[in-house]
Amino acid sequence: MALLDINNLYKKFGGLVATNNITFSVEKGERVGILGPNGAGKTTIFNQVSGFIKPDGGEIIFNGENIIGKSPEFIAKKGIVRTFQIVKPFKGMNVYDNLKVATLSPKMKEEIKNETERKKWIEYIIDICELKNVAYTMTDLLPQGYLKKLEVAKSLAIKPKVVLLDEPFAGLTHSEIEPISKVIIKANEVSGTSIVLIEHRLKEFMQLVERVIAIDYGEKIAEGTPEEIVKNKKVIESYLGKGGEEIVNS
Amino acid sequence: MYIFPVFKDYYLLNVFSIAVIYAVYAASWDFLSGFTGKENFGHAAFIAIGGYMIGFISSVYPIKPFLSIPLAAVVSAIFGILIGLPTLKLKGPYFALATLAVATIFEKLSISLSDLTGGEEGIYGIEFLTQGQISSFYFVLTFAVLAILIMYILGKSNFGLILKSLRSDEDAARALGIKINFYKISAFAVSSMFAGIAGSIVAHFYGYIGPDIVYPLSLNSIIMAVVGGIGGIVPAALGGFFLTFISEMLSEFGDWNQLLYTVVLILSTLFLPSGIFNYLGAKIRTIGSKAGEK
Ligand SMILES: Nc1ncnc2c1ncn2[C@@H]1O[C@H](COP(=O)(O)OP(=O)(O)OP(=O)(O)O)[C@@H](O)[C@H]1O
Ligand SMILES: [Mg+2]
Repeated sequence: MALLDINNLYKKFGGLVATNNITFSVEKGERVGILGPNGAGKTTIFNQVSGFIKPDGGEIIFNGENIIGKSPEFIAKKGIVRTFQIVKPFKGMNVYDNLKVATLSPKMKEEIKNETERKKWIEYIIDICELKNVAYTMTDLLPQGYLKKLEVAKSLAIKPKVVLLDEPFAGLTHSEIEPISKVIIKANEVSGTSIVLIEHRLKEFMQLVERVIAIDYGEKIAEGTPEEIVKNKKVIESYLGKGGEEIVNS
Repeated sequence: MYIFPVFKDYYLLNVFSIAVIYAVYAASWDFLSGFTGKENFGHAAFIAIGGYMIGFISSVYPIKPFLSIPLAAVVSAIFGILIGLPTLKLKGPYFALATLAVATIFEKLSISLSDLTGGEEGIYGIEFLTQGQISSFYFVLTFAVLAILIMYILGKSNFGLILKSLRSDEDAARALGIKINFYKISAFAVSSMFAGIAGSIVAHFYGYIGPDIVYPLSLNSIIMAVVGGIGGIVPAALGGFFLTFISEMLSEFGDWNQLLYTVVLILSTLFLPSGIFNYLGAKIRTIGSKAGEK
């Protein structure tokens, strides 16, 4: 049994089937990618796994417990945290306080005993996420690159077992992506956090993940290693177009 | 012996006392609305709970402040929770409308249930706060300082930080596992509790409670807090204090009073949109840090 098992996840918005019996699993310490064209249903999978949208059918088994239909608060406490495609920093406060809010969540309240420990943990996160030079800057003033980093940093600050990252590289330059990519790998390798990544930036995506789930029109069309996926006919038709292999091998 | 020699007459002392209570109204509005971003357009309802309850009790039993304050605290905190539970899921204008509706219902009931409330006339004969004007002033001042201090400390604490995170983005907080309903309800309870206590103290201060001293406060609390500056308790409280003071001083100008008051409001929101005292506070801090660098 995997850490996270998603079975036949089904969600309908009016007449539109956004996820049509999607099934996949995530092992502990694994880095899984979700690939698919715009509107394929990728974010809708995250919305359901994280509890923001109630599925119409299926199972989400986390650590042996069916968490389907539970609240986002409950699911985060269990150890699944998601980021948002459109960043959601806490405005009107600085980066340090944004991370502090994360440490005040019920999950971290159990782990952090006092304010000294809290400070240490926040500073550690700031350090590994390379946010030191903006730690005391109001988020209202931060450029997109930092906000994307902060979005990942906040999710890691609650020591999740699984992080669902929704397009953490969107809109960034290659040099901005690299540090975020490093942080994701570090969290994965040092803490054994499982990563589920949605990303359209194929080169960085394929380098980061070990296994890919390809989605189109709400259905899983393929699953495999990045090497397998770029050769898959269905994936090429729906998403990659020609030259998919070049992306992976470049 | 005058401990407060500034006040040559009781008029000024009276104005001062009222201004200090209005500071609590504005601060308690800020605690819910300034911090969590849930704009309460019916703060008067929370004030009415405290004031009218003391009025009702007084018509059968001459309740004294030392009893009515804890009673008002408990009852209005519970009232805040009861109003909070159904409304906290509402967003933006829907929440504002719901709270406005609550206060409107209260106002209508205070007028129509005149057997109980005294209608437009209100309820007279409530025990005075203390025996003298000066001691009453000190009573009010002590309460206000304590109330504002408690809300300020709560606002600065981790609890206050979470409330501020809700103002910015409730979903982002939920994604981290923050139990947003608990925090919103708690903010309601604290805000309502201090508004209710202030309402009960006003009833004792005047020996009277009536619609004229309660219902304009829905709008006025917002104005005082916004002009002073929201999200920090003290700026809102100072807004409450000075606007009340100015408004009283301007009453000499008769009909011009309302006009001058409005001009102050328009100018301050135009030029200092983050609030007068938030602006001054930031100025003082930058001057302080420049002085520190030297
Ligand atoms: N809350 C909702 N209500 C109605 N329809 C929705 C809702 N959320 C998503 N959809 C629809 O479901 C489909 C899948 O959307 P989703 O956001 O999951 O796509 P995506 O794969 O994340 O796309 P992108 O790459 O553009 O982010 C889209 O057609 C979208 O319009
Ligand atoms: Mg999406």
